[in-house]
Amino acid sequence: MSPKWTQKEMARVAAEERSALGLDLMDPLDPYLLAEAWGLPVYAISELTAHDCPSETIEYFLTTNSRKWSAALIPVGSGRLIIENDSHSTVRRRSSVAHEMSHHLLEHVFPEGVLGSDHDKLYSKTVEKQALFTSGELLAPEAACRKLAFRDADNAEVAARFEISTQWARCR
Amino acid sequence: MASTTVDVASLHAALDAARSTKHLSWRQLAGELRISPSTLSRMANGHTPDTAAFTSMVTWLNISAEEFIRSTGEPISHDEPDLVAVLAPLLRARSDLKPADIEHLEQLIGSAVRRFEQERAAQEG
Repeated sequence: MSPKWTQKEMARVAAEERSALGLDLMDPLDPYLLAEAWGLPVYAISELTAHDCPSETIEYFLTTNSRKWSAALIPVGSGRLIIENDSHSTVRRRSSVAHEMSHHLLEHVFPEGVLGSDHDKLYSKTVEKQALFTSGELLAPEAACRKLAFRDADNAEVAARFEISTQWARCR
Repeated sequence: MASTTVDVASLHAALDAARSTKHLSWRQLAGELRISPSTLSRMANGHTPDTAAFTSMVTWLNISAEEFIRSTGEPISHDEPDLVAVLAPLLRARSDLKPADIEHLEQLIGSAVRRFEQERAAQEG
């Protein structure tokens, strides 16, 4: 069973992880470095051709149905890996990897967390909301967004600083 | 003297069993061990902890360090189920996935796991 989380505790986890990476409040976080620090490999779909993934499957997720799949946290025994859709924009990929890492940081339990953000039917809504909140705190902490708001920064400025989409900057 | 290595999988499994008994999350366990929680996550993916962390773990477990030391080259079993076999019934149970989605997901996950296992085998030497 997954641990229970309050927003305060999730924000603390995100702040601890940012601090462990040597980041200040206003610094952007690289979710790929976070995954590396936690020992999780991140495989882009297009890289899997070298590992016997059929070209039709790569094509299916990268072109024909590219909107269907963002990323997934996959359990392998006690270990974990992340698969990501590298046909998406950089900001979306960063957000997807941060989201999957949030499931891992919050210790969301398999099989709840087997599939990623675009295949969220195996996650409960609560668990999804937790990952969404935590990934937001990882990429663009609320305290930092407040500071920028007081400085009259617009959404584009917030998005550029934290390397997130302007839509997400607006939400933050 | 033969060179040795830490049986990371067995150590991680022992920690998992002990923390479950004590109802600790991995993060809480890391706090008790005074190590980073990422160290425990890295172990789950086959990375060897440093000496200080290893000492802290076996002390907390109250198990001799020798229990987790193996001669280099001695095979270490992971005893993991075939992931696609585990996932297939879950994927097929989902009404939102078309048969083509499931087929391609199985291929994708299978390829990723093959790569993961190759990389872990190389890491263990």
